[in-house]
Amino acid sequence: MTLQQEIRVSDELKTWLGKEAARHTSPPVSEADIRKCAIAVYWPEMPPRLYWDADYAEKTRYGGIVAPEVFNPFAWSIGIVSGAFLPDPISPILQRAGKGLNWLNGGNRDEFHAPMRPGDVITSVTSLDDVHTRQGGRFPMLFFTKKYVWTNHRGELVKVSRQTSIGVLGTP
Amino acid sequence: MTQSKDIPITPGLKAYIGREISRYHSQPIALSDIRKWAIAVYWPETPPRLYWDADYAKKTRFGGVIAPEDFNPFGWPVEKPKQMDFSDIYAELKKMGNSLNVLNGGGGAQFLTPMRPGDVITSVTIIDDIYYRQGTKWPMSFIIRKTTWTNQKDETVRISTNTQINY
Repeated sequence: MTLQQEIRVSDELKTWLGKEAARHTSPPVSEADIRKCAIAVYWPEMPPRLYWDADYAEKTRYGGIVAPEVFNPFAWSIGIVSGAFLPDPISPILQRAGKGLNWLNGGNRDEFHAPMRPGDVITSVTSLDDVHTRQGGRFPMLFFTKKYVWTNHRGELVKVSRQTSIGVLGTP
Repeated sequence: MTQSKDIPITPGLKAYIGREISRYHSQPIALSDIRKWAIAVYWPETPPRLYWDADYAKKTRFGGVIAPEDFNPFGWPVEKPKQMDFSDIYAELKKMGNSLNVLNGGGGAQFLTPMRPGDVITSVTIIDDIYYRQGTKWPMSFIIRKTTWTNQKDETVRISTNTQINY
């Protein structure tokens, strides 16, 4: 199979590899934030008491209320339009690099470490984890992966997320 | 058009006047509850700092973050609150020959002490008044509900009234 066209990874993009591209700090997580997230996640069932009943949660192995793993402490922050997509300087470069490509969601991988608790302030550090090209069955493809590392105000690792996007040069 | 006139109500209905029909307690209000509410109310603008910036709010005449007046501290309860039961009142209305077609007769609200982070709000609703009036075509009943919110310091936060018209 011959490579008809090539996707070039720009030097501008490569310079961001492994480097901190953005840092965001959440407002303090409140019990109410956790309760609302749990209600939404378990709707229409009643959410587990671990997420909203402080007396119950104190007697569990967690020693208090914790947030569901999917909890997003950056949602509804002042100045961040969408907590799901924290702004960073890589995105505009990727948009330029991806001009003319058709995009696929390459999936997410999440590792969950210390649970989030009321009062926690979470810091998210965004970096470009990987960028490479690969020849597909019919078209060349660009893979890039962003990494988000969350830590709490005690410096404990909370979550590592990797989001992969695939740009395809051609119409599948 | 004929002139409206009041119609005497049954003793059964009269007995409801002044009666408490519901009482709810909110969860403690979180700073983030207020911030989220303000973001929604002022969207897509940035809401006033009074509603989310503790340092800024401390220097204002309020001495700290307060909630917008229309803030609802009863949103997102874990357990659904019991709905008010009007079946006995409706039975009395029927005794007076009233149909149960309903109109929203409007309402009003007075905002008194502002709500703040940490506040626990109690809402008490009473039947403030019930009266009948002859409309142009049908008799109409007016049920006035008054809801009073107080905080944990027993300060009155808000008094609202709502009029329900049955005809």
